[in-house]
Amino acid sequence: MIDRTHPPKTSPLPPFKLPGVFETRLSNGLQVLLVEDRRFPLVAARLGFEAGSKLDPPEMAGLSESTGALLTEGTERRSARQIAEDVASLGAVLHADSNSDALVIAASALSENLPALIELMADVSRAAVFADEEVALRKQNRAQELLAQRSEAAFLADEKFAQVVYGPHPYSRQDPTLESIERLDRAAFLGFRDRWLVPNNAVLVLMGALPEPAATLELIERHWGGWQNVPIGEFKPPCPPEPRRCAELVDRPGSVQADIRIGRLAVTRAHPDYLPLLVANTILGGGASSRLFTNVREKQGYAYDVHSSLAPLKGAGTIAAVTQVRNEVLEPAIRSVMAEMRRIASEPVSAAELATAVNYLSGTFVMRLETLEGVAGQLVNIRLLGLPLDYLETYTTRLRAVTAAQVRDAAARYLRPDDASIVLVGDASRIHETRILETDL
Amino acid sequence: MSIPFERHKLPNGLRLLLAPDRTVPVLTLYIIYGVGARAEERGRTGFAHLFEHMMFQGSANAPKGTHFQLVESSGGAPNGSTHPDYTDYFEVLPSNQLALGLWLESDRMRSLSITQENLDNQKEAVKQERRLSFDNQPYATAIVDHWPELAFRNWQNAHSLIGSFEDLEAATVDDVARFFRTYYAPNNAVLVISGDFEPAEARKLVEDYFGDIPPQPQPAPPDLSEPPRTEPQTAVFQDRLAQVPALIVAWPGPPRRSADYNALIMLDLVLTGGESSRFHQRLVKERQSVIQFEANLGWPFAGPTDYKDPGLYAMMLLYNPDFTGEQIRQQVEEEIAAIQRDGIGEAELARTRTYLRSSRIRQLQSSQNRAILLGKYELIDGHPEYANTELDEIAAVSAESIRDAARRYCDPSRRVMLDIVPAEAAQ
Repeated sequence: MIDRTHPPKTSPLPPFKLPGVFETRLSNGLQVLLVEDRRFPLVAARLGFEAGSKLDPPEMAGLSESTGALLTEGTERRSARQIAEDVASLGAVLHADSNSDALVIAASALSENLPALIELMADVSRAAVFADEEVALRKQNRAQELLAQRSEAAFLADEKFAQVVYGPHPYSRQDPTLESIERLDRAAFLGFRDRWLVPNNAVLVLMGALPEPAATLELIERHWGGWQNVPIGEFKPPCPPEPRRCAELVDRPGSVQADIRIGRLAVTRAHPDYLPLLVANTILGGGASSRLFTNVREKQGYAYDVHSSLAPLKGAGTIAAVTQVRNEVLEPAIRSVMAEMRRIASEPVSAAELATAVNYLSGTFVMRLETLEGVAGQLVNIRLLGLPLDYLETYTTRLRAVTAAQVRDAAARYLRPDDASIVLVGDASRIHETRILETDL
Repeated sequence: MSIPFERHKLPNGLRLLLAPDRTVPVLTLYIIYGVGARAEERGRTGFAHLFEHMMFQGSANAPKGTHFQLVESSGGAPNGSTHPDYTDYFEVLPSNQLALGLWLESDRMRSLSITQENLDNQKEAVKQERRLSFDNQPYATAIVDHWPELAFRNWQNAHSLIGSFEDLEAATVDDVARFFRTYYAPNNAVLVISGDFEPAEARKLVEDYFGDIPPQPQPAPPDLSEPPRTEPQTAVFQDRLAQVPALIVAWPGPPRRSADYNALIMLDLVLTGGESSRFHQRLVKERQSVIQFEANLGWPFAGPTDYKDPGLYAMMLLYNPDFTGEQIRQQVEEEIAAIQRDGIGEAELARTRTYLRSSRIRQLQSSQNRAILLGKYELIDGHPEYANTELDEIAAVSAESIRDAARRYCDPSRRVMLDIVPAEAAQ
């Protein structure tokens, strides 16, 4: 008979070894990572550039993002329609996405079509034409999409929070504006592409049912070998301001509740405090057994969504608590969130909480390795962020080494309500940011 | 590509599917119950979803908080979701935690804690979810509350799936207990395990944990029958949160698994599947009238895999405000009329088949998606083999069948349409 009264005992998770990575570099500087994995008749490819929105000129926010979007809208050899039809015929997906740090061309296809996929990827990475009618359409649709995004409270809150925390640093501009979209033109796209989308600023990852490395490399060499490298200028952004307590209100008339961000500057992935702070963030607000969830949502009932998030960009990172609450409980909810921030920064977490958080982070990490796209995406990120290649292999071991004292110390350095910025999005006729600032929180 | 699986049934009626794949140390435990929002009673809208929340409030041996705490502390991710015709729960777990998942799922199927305190607490959580995910989001009120009322005549299909605050308030502990007894019985559920595990061992564990949960009389399915539509219908919704207008267009769809069901899946891919689709090329790129679109057999709450008739083939298009909803409707119907008149060419058909096949293979990389597909097909069709055979059937649909299905189903005289316009612009 089984014992139903207690959770079953389980054996430890068997160690998991990532498939081997074959690594090389073309003479033009292009880094190449090949990973063979024959579970599915698929290949996943990533061509990543350190060319994210941080490199947009200040008056042209959205340049990187729209450059990426237009890479697949026509090349010297293919019309936009031809690209779309070729993608469908190969059983492929192909898109180029940009975030703060990187622009990544992501593709996958049925593995029998690898040669055609490489040819197509090389074409869009090197020979996009940014035709006037495609540029005009992109601008028009991005402007409409931006209007739709701006109707969402969460978007407005994230936008304002980045502005407050990053100040003059380009990470403050994570999205375009209607004005900056208007300024984008063909010359700007070509300029951005030719300056940043170059082999010596790129990492190529191919993963899946690949032919042997020599044959794959021959294919890569054929399509990217003649790609010219260019000197890359140094990126020296202005520093973000020192964290300080402030409250900013974004008016959203008609809002039935307030969307809240409470946070500040934190660390990058390469910083020694990163893993302890990641664990602290998980215990504070990472999921349904976190303190914010159990206290602010389950016990006090102030909010449906209350969590915290760590955003480690390459040059700087942030940590913030995020919640949405009814206007009537705004102040007690903020006070409650801040009390949890203070508590984790002053008392060591329990052994059980620490184990839960570490297991959670390790488990979710393993789960992201189920798909080819998941592993390929992690590998390209690691390279673009300048992290060591064994980052994935050693991740769970390093995580398990984090101590309760390290968690408290990291929390004490970055989860500091007294110099946290508070961003509120809500109906200004019902919320007063000055009152929040004057309230003893 | 096919998913190998075993199919079993316990004496208490619990259907069990085991789909092992031992390459990554991850598994998914998926349990799907044959009850959804369309089974709700008048005065109890939103009840199926409220009940889904109750399922996370603890059981006899796993008190409140245990479920999330244990699943997360072992690195897993728990979740649940409510649909028109079913409610499902899953845990994605590291593969050493199969017994934990089975213990939790069997304990709550056997002995859910149904108390006034839990119910009150979850009523508040659902209200807050509604404020956040629906009342405060552009388009959401139109889609969740107004669209079903327009699309359907039978109250079972037409009522709001998230429910009203009044009905949520009215729900009692007795309602919850009755719902649990009726619908959350082993004979009304399918359990699927996919990923890294040993099937014989898993089967033994399932029998140990679930075998002695008593079955209940099989609940009668709700009467979902709809009167036939004989004329087009149009409504306008003023959305105070939307900045960009959107149009929903739909037609009553075919019976699930009929030849026309397969043909409409292909028709939808030709019209809206990816950037080579007709809508993207003609409406987004050439006419520049549409900004974004989504479409599905069963949209917005289902897709082809869980579409169940009566349902609609429906689409939502965000459109350029220089156009009117009526113009967008005309353009959509012109694209469909072209297929009704000329059919589709061989190259386009071949491309669409490849698109269908590769999307499915990509999707089935995760143990969770494999489990969900098998579980739905066992519950809805009683035939999980569809997960391995339906692609061939759908891909075999001829160009003529697609044309004929477009003629039969995308009929302007049975069209339903909701134009969602930003409230300011309408003033």
